Amino acid sequence: MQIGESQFVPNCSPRCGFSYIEAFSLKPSLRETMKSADLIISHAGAGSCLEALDLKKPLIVVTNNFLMNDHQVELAKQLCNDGYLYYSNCKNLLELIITMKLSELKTFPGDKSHAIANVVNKLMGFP
Amino acid sequence: MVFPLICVLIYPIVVFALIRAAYLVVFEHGKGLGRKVAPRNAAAKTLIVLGSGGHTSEILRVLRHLDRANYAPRVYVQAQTDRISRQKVEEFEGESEDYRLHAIPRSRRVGQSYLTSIFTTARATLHAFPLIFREKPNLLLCNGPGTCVPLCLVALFFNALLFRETKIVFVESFCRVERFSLSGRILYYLANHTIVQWPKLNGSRYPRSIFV
Repeated sequence: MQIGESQFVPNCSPRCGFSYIEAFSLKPSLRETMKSADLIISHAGAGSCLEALDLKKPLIVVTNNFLMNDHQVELAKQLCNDGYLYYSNCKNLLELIITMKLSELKTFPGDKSHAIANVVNKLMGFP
Repeated sequence: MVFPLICVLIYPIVVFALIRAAYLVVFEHGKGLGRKVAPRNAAAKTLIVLGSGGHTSEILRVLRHLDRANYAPRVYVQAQTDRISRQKVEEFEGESEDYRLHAIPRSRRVGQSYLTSIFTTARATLHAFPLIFREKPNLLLCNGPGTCVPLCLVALFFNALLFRETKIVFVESFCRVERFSLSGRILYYLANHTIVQWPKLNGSRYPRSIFV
């Protein structure tokens, strides 16, 4: 669990079938941690989503309904409609985990960083 | 005696800069890829705006695909409250030495109200003036953390006043599918080019943007 800079201290005692639960505040890169996971539950930040999808890990995005004009939902909805991930709010997360079929998720074709870099090269006059 | 004199001298300069900035925004910016760009032989000094949250990861993903020899030196700017971006940049840059990192005050916290945002943005703008003036970047690359608005504003000001050519390129975040961010709505006009990743931010409604 990455808990960011929140004051909330989660209960890390083993329970509900998990033999080991760990919480940390922030890491510069979650890549290694993500690599070792079988399922990733993440907020809808583009960075975290892309990282998980890059690693071809099944992903559930949980949206935060408290942010000022919540744009995170847009991305989660779009990628969910395209069939790359599941998304849910906190309330329905448990039900989703029970009913989801991870094998139905499609593989994400990769993000547009390369195309963006090509456009920047063109705009700057580099080949 | 000195103060009114300074006011009288500064007034026409600022008015000139504002008029020329308005001209640039209306007639020069947002021309897309249609316009021919002269091939560049020298490396482009690049100022990259980092931001808390996913912005830093996203912009570094783009930089990974750029030839670092062409985009050198790289000047990274981060918000002072940001603790994680420095680590990400250092990890990304590895052994290279042609980069440096600056910190400026944050212009807007996530969730901060629009009214107080105006004051914090003004404070960040004051820090942006000496930074942009000294660095004279050829390219200002940003993807929309609040910090990038004052930097782009100041870069546009110097472009207008001193006939500099800092190319301001704004990449709207991947997570903006249907609507531009607050920074995006501003930078859509301030930036020379706006790159978007979803079709709804392009087309007849947003003819200035480049859809990839």
